[in-house]
Amino acid sequence: MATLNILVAVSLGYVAFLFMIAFAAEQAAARGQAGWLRSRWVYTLSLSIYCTAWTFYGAVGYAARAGLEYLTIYIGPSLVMIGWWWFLHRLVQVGRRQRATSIADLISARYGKSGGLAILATLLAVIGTTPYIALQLQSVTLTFDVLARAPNAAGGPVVGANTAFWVAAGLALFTILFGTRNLDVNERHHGVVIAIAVEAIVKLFALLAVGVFVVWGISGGVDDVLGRIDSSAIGMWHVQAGRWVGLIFLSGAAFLCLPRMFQVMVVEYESDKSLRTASWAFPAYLMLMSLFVVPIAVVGLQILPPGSNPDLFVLTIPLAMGNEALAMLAFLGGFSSATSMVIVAAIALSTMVSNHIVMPIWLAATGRRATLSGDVRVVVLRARRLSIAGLLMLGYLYYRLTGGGAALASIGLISFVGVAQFLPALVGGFFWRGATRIGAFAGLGVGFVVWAYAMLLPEVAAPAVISADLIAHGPFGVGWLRPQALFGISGLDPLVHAILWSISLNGLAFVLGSVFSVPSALERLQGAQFMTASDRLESPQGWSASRAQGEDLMLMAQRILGAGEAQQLFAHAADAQGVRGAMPDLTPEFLQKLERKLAGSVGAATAHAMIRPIVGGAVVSVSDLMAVADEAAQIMEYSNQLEAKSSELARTAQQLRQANEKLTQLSAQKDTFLSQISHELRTPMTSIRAFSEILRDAAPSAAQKREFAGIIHDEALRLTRLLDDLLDLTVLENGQVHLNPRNEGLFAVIELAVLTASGGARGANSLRIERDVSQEKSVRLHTDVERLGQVFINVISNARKYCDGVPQILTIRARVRDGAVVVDFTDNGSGIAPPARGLIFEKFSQAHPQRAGGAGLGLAICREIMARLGGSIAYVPQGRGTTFRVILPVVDGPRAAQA
Amino acid sequence: MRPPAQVPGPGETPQESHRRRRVLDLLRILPAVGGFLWAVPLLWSQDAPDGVSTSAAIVYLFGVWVLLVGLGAWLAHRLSRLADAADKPRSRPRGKRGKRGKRGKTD
Repeated sequence: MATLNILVAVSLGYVAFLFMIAFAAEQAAARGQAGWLRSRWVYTLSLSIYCTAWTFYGAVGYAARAGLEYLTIYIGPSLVMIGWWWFLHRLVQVGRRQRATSIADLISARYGKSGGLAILATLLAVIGTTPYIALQLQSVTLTFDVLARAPNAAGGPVVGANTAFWVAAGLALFTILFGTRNLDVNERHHGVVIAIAVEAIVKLFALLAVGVFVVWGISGGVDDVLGRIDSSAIGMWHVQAGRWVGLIFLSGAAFLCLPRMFQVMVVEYESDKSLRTASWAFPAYLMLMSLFVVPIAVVGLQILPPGSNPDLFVLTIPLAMGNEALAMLAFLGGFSSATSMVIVAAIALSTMVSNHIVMPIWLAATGRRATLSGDVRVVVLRARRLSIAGLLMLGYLYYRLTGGGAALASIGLISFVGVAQFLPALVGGFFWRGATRIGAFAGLGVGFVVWAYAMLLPEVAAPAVISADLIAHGPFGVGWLRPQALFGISGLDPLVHAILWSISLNGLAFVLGSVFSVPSALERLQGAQFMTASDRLESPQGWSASRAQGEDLMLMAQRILGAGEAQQLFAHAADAQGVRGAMPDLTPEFLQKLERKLAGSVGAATAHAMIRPIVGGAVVSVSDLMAVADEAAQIMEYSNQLEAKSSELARTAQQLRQANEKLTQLSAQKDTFLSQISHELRTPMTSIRAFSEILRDAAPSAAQKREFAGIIHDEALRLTRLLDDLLDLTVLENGQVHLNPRNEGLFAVIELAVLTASGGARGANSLRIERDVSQEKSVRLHTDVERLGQVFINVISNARKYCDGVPQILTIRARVRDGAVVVDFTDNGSGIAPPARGLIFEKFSQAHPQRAGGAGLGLAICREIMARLGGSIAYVPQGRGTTFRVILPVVDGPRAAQA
Repeated sequence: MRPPAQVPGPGETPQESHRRRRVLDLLRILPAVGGFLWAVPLLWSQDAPDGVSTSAAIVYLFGVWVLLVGLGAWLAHRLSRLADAADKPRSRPRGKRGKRGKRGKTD
């Protein structure tokens, strides 16, 4: 019934419908009503381009051949999505921040914006994707053919190979119309995304409809279907462990590395919310897509004639049951799967080709003029359109050349292993700081060579390019180089073999290349930005430019971004810098922003290469290198700072405590001092008062009067002396003392002191003084002689007062030692008791209070005087007697004055 | 998006921050759980007499799927709520606010 014309009409009608949706979405976006276009559900549905025609038709064929193993293709991505917090989250954050336009762009950006790496990655992506595009063309052609000849079951193909050509041409047209409308990839393809979201619903609905038809229409419900499954050829659980694990890994890796997945996952990414929702909603979508696969396969095996192609069961079962409408729906589902994959893959690859291959060549060809003349936008867009056409043409040629022979699933898997070679460089770039450009080159190169040799050649190109003999015996008979048994390990499944060797050798080359190479500063900088999920380390990348180059940059930006947008960008920057209306200063921040903006259109490496000739070399500044210090280092530094701060606080607290203790002590000392001074003053005052009262009230005799007056006089003198001493001490302690240094011989000073000390004494002067006069005469002093004499007098008087030797003998010995005059005063008394020794220089302390004549200030004053003179006085514990040692520095000239 | 998941957001109490980090811990461990559960069938006998039927395998494998999707949805929902709460500074008692302000500066 479904004639060719109807089929064509339905297909074209469907495409027109998609066209309208895409167009409406573009219009809505242009009016700024893009909110609903960017909902998290649209994002989730757009991820479904993972499910291509290979999934739609091929999964059933896969299940019919190998049972439940087909599930691995969906389990891998499900695990990646469920584990989004590990890697995907990081990938989209960094990808958006770097304005990556493709996976090749991201890898090149990570490894120092390397143009070479971008070219390599682009070539590999094209090689890996072309078979896949061919596969989609094949499936559309095949299903077209099946539907068109359904009424007359036998006979040759109704549709010629031209179908594939027209399909390819139509897809190219659609992709060019909606995929290359705007240049900045980061402005997103609203129309395309909405179209593939709709297609996602169509294919899910179609597959579920066929599934429901099979379970409840053909079979008798769930139980019946489960029974049919168990009694079929694939009724027992049977998988090879190696393939099960290997395929789960492979599909997860491919999910991350496929260029088209990167396009919808990162480039068209909207917000965190989208990813959070997709993290569970997309696995649910995959689950629904694979839910009815086994029932369809089993029922197809049962009701269709033996030898039917199981890859087409989704279509042929409804046809066989006469349900044309459902068959048409299934056809549209498969058509949707194929077209959405081709469209997005073509957009992703054309972006890569134009940004990483065409643009660098064009730039090199036109030289510096490129950035200043000619419309770069036109060049880029034209390159992109031609690339799309070229890629589809390539897919078509591949389809024609291979004749669509291999089963859908095996082509898909070959392609998966190919793109999975990006995995070490991609993941390593995010988690390993030491990964370098050389390492990425080595890994990608080795991985793809192994893939091509061990998988692509034997499975796809075997008869044409390499002989069966080579596969069986290795090149030149070298056994361990057999493509499917490398290193002589022959027991492995060919697929597991290819995955194992390509990925492991790729990873090894990547690690070794990285370890034995030194990354450039830009590589390190980019690496640091990839290592963190945050904007924290965002630092301008040291472009340094003068204002004169601003015009050039403006011209270039206009040619890439378009005049309006470029002017807006520059105007915004000028506003932000507060130079409204003028050319903005070319600060590193602004230049980085501009580079990012350009990178969104032409890729990181090209943008870098275009700015460089205008601005000159990039300067990696110290602050950039600081940014290289990773997050951990920053956290460590932060905690170090905290630690330093806390120990500083602890020190301050300690100091405060000490200060407080000192203040408390001082306060106590002051109290003691006051009470002592009151005491010292009261004693003489008491006697003065008492004797003056007697003089006033009683009638003393003249002799008594004289005696009492004498006592009053003595006590008044004592008071005066005490007050003098106190005053003296205060002056000395406050450092307000004024010294009058002059030159004098030591002998004269001691002589005067001895005379004064003896002269003041009343009664028997029994103290005998022994001196070494010649020694004393040899010493000359430059000091305040009065003050020094005061010290000597005090010491001699003390000896006379306290020495208990009989007779009292005081020996004075003077000598010069180590540039200082040392005078020892040694008496023959019993000395000072050890506990008192530490206190004798304190105020009001007296070793022998009972014999005290003074207030106990003498030695305290001596100590202060000696300190002012730059010397010292100390009690020297010796075997016998009391020795006071006075030490005075011998200074030249007036230096003593400052003491 | 607040960059470092470990640092409390501006409007987050220590309890909320703790809860958010535990949700992230669960999110991290979920794929490992899934990988393990999906690897369990490899331990099943594949020989005819005591082998496992395909229908039983389907029920198990899809059961794991439903479980993971459910847990993933629940965690994503909780994370959304906690992250929104963390991003939005709310009015809260003065004392706490001051403390938070200081801490906020550090990230």
